[in-house]
Formats: sequence, C-alpha cells, structure tokens
Amino acid sequence: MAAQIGTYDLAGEKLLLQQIAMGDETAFKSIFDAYKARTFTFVVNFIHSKADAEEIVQDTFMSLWQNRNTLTTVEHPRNYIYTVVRNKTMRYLSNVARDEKMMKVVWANMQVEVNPTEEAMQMRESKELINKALSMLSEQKQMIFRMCREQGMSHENIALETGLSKSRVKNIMVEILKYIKVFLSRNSLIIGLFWSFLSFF
Amino acid sequence: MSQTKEQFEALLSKYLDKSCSLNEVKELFSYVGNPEYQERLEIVMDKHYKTLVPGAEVHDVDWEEMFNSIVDDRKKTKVRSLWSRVIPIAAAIIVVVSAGMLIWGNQQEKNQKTQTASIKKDIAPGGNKAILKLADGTEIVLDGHSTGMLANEDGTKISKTADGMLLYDATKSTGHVTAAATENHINTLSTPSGGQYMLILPDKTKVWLNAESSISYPSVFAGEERNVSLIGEAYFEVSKDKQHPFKVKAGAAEVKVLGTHFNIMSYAQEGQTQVSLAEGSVRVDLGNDSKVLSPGQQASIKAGSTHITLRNVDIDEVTNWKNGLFQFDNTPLEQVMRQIERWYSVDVVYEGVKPDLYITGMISRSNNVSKILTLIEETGGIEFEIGDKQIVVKKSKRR
Repeated sequence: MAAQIGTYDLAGEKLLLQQIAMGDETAFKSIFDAYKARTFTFVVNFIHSKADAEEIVQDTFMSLWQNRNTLTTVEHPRNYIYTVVRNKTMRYLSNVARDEKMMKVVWANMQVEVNPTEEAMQMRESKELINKALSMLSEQKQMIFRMCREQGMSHENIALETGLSKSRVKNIMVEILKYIKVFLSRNSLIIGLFWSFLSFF
Repeated sequence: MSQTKEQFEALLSKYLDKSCSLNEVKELFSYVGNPEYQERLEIVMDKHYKTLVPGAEVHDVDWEEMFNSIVDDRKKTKVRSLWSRVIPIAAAIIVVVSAGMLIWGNQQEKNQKTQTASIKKDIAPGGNKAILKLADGTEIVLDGHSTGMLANEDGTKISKTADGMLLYDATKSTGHVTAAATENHINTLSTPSGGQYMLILPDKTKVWLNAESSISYPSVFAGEERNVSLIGEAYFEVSKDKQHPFKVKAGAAEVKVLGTHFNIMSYAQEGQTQVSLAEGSVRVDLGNDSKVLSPGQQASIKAGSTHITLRNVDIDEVTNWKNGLFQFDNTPLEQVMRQIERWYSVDVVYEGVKPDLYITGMISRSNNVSKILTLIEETGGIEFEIGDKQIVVKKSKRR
C-alpha cells in the first residue's frame, strides 16, 4: 500500500465537502487537487485513452461541483468520489463491450509508440487507407483530424472551436495518429510512410 | 470458448499490463458484457484504485484549464440542454401523463404527508434513439424523425419507416444468398442510456430494444438457423418458421424458439439473465441444463450459476416497458433505480445505508423523472435529490 502517506483525514475532508456545498471554490480546489491524479491514472489504466479519461475525470468533478448541495451528508468523501469515477468507467467499458470498433481503438491505444522513420511515401495509395482508418473512428475524432490536417488549425484554435481543453485535443490527435499507424501496419506494407507527413500535427 | 474466472483474471491482468492481443481484448470485453463478471471486475477495480501510484500521464492534462472550466460553468444556465430534449416530446408527455395509472404501496407504514422531490432540476425521459452498425463497419445514427431507405445489404433493403422503427425487407432479394456469404455480414443495433428502438428483422420477426442494449443479427437469414445475439433487454415476436429455429444468445444462455413472443433481460448490472414467455414455446439452454418454457413462465439464470430456475410471472409486468410503461410489483428499490438509470441516463448514488424498500405500481416512461421520484417519496422514509445527470437517494428527515 505504497500510495497513502499517513492516515486518511476523514473529518478534514468531510469539512471540506461542507464548505464546497456552500460554494467555496478554494475548498473545491483542495479536493480537486487531492484526487485529480489518482482518479485520472485509474481511468487511464482501465480504458487506455488519456483523452477519454480526461473527459471522465472532468465529468466526475463537474458532477461533484454542480451537485455540491448534496455533499453535506456524504459519510466518506474518498469512497464517494471513487464510486462516481468507477461507475462512469464501468459505463464506458460497457459501451466498448458492445462496439467492436471501440475495442480496436482501445487495443491500438495499448500499442507502444515507435519512433517514426522518414521515408519517401506513396501518397495516393496510403491516403485511401488513412481515410478508411479514419472512417472507423467517431464523428468527433474525424472532425478534429480534418480541422488539424485539412484546415491547418492549431490545437489551441481547435480547442476554442470544439469547447474541449487543449490537452484533450492534443491527446486525441496523438491517439488518432496511433490508431492510423496501427491500422495501416495491419493493412499495408507501407509502414514508415508519411509519418513525416503526419508528424506535422 | 467457455468462460472461467481464471481466464477472466488472466485476461484482465494482461489488459492492465497492455500486453494482450486484439483477440484477447475482444475476449476480455465479452466478459465485461456478461453479468457474471461484473462484481469480479469491480473488486479488481477497487483494489487497483487503492494501491495505484499516479504516473507520468498525469502531466498530459491541463488541470488548471479543467478546474476553471468546471467552476466557471456554474454561471451558465443548464436549462438549455434540458429544453432541447423536452420540446420534441412535449406532445407525447401531455397525452400519456393523463393516461398513466398509479398504484403505490410498500411494506412500510404509509406516510400521511405528501412530499415533493426537492426539484432544483428535472430530467427528461429517454426516447427513440439508436445506432445501427452495418457489416462493413458503417455506423448510422438513428435519431430524429426522417424516414426512408438507409442501405442495401445482400439484397435486403434497410429502411427507417417511422420514428423509432427500423425495417429489414428481404422479400425482393434477388438470387440465392448463401449462408457462408452472409455469415460475416452482421448488423448491430445499439441503444444508449435513455434510448429505445424497434426493429423488424429480415424474417419479419419484431424486436423491441430497451435502453443500454444491443442486438446483432445478419442482414439476411440464409442458414439452417436464425441466429441473433443480445446484450441488455429486448422483447421478441418471432415469426413462425418450423424449418429454421430462431436462436438468441444472451450472456451464458441460449434461447431457442420456433415462433413465439417472449422477453429477454440480460443486463450485466442486474446479475442475472431472465427469459419470460408470453406466447408459444421456447427452450433455454445453459451448458448442460435445459428447460422448456410454457406461456407465463420465466427462466432465471443468476450470474455464475450453472442451472436454470423456472417460476410463473405476470407476463404483462415484464414486458410493459415496450408499451411505454414502468411496471413494478414488490420490486426492490435498487432494481427500480437501475431501470431509472438506464432510461433517464443518470447515475444513482446512495447516501448511507441503502433503504429496504419495495415498490409496486405503474407509470408511463414518458414522464420526467421527478414524477416517478415524487411518487416513490410518498411511500415514506426516502428522499431524492435530482442533480445534473445524477440522483441521490437519502433517508427522509421527516417521518
């Protein structure tokens, strides 16, 4: 049990929740800072996507803040917060279980990143494959990829446009490229390919 | 491949290690969809959470930005997102609420005072929405009122005929389609939380799909058997065809039918699979155990069990969801709340000890959640707090 330093301050955290219930942002920041890393790592470990884990963690804290009036009688803050995260993660996994495409995305995210080599590419052929790979991803991901590649938008501008955080946009792009690469390596002999082309993102 | 605890834990271990193959990932997720393994997964998760050490990936998130967007958000009115869902179904609500009959009671003392759910927000009910995935991987979102032909697969015309109904018309398929050719041409219809849909299969079998469910089937039934698989809940009216038995795979069970009307409930959360027969005849197979049902009977398979239990049920109660009604008969509160979770797309959180309450009654699924919660509160001893995509259950302060 290497993770905990000292014993858990139950009374202290219950008090923080009381303060949060009254709208105290500083108290909320304390809880947020205390749990952001653990909850995030937990979700990433179970779903293998930093972008989606960010969404789940954000939803969790958003839910805590927006429903803060219900925090007054929470008996065990740590378990309460964990339960919300766990339930959202279970729901995510249940959705993946019903969708084979998502399973492939999850698996692609598990693959280790290999340093790209720069080689001459055969644009035309690979472009079709890239589009095919893209078509397997969600609408949102396709849109973000197009904004980045076709419209040349920066991550910051994409973030503004979509309402997502910059880090989320970046993680999504990284995951899309990873997916395309894994997809291509399974479907084409041209591997090293336009990694140099894609590396502009 | 038979599923075992050891296999599940081995796969899960590899998954967490990131050392599994694509097939192993698929195999692992087949466990995730199975009610038997839900609890086991939770145990692993709980242990993992307590002992994990946050890693370098934590630096790939902009936490300042996240915090700011959460606290700034309180200034925006959340009402807008509710209205956009309420308005299209407002007509349905007006008609159906007046027709809803309500009979409430439970095993505890009835509370004389009426209480209203503390409503700062309310949550609109689910509606007709689903995602159809074709054999080639194309996904079509079925949401909205447009009708018309969607696709053509193996000679079968796929069209959306009315709000909430999908039709597979195989009558004009030309030439012979072999079983081998269509084996891999599987379509999947999935509903999200808060979604429901009706489907007419290529053999004219009717399927009503409840929320958080998905059904997989071929675009043409060309083999000896008509095979489909189900996660979640669906009601079937199978078209008669003695030569080609209709089989549904749900969790660990397989249901074989000739021509009949029945309901299958197989959600991972409920910890069991239940097959209830309205009309006709079905056989339920689970490993070595096999039971034939008569109308009015229900076969129940608890997660982890190797045998099937039969009992008599009120079939209307089991299938009323497809008629747009929630129906409960001495149903434990937790089960009621899980149905609410799936239909209203919310998380339910319990404060303190879970109340020992049983609910009996019937109410339309078209109501906003507050209506149902208010009625449950009236039975006494319990209070609900409706939040944003969340409902908190607590002991009532009043007696």
